[in-house]
Amino acid sequence: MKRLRIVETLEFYDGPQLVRAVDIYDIEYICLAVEQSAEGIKFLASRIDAELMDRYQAGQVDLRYVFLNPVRNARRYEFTIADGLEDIQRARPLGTVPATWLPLHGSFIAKSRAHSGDGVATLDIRIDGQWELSDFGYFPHRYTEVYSFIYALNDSRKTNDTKYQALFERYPWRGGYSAVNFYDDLYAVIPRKERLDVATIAYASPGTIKVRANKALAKQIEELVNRLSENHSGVRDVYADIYHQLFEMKLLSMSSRDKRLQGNDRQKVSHLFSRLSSALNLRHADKVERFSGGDPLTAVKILMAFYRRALELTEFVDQGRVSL
Amino acid sequence: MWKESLPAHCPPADSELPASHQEFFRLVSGNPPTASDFDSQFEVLKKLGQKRKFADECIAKACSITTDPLRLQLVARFPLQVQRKLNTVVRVALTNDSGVIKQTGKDASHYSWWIKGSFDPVSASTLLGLIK
Repeated sequence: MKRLRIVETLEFYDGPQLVRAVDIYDIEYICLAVEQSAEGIKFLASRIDAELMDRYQAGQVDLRYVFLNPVRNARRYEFTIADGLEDIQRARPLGTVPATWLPLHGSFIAKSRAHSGDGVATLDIRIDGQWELSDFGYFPHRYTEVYSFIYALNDSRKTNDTKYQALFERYPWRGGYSAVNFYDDLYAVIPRKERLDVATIAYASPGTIKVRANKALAKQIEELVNRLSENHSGVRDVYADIYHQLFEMKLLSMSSRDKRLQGNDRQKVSHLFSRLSSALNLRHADKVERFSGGDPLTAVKILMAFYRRALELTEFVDQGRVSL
Repeated sequence: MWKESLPAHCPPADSELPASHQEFFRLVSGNPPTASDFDSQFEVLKKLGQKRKFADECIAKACSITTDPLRLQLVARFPLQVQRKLNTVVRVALTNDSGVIKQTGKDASHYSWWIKGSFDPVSASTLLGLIK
């Protein structure tokens, strides 16, 4: 027997349908009404944690998945309530869950109720022309990377600064996989309710990808892409010159772990960072240097990697296939 | 006066007549619905033989309706609704003669509806769609 205390009704429709309960150790369970009889309403209880609850409430997994995949593969329980939810429920361990006790496939939380963060809005990305299937992977991937980077620079939560510092200094930036891993890690810092969610995709010429995103950050991306589109050659020349100078200094395949920059070299690379930063005109770009532990070589390489991603987004706009 | 025998102070004092612009939706078992599709939880359990008391009998004797039909796509996939084959969404036209409503629960779209005995919810329902 397990003692469960119901703490919240998540779904009520002609009575409680889905409730949240905790045991004496404050371990959380999600409980679904599964049968009605003369004894009352029987509930199936399955262990859940904040991560799984968040995924359900963001509409990323359906309720069937939640009940089929209890946290830590924990045992499921059943209990019957007869006269209200306030009492402590005595839950019995359950062997196999009857198929009729599971929600049907597609039991997603209503989109109208899915969690979304402050400032999150649905944005239209208009698409046109011919798209290959791979473009639908490529474009959103690049957009996500740019969004992740801008999110980090605009994240005002001081508690996250340490995370970003660790992340910006984690990779050697000698080329290769540093950038790929860096952007995956950056995206993981974004709270689920502010991550990019696809609302709808309508492929036609023209069509629309509706995306839920932080509106202010999406606006910054739009402004950046428009700036790059209008001044392609200006920013590209700055990038090319920085690339050339780093090549001349033999720093392209070298990281601060290989060589600690000092004196003139340090000043020179710091200047290169400032030039690219000014050309991109990003808000809070100074954080790149700060998060990089004041190392200008890491900072400029991170900013160069970001520019290449922003440029690839801009190419979709220049080709007339995307309008942000 | 009411479809069900209600306890004292029920419906609650802050329940209201439905506003004319409000649209409400409910899950039913087919088109047209049946009278039992509008049974409250109290009535459903009474028919199953339950005799115990409810902590909140007033709410248990109300019928759930929602202003957000999308929400019903989830509710229809819950076991209790699947077992009763409640997979059809109807729009219910409420009038001043249909009873009183009150928003209840954490979901702003959810309302408890205490139905007048003289009101026929079946004829006030029009089909919106089938949930597949």
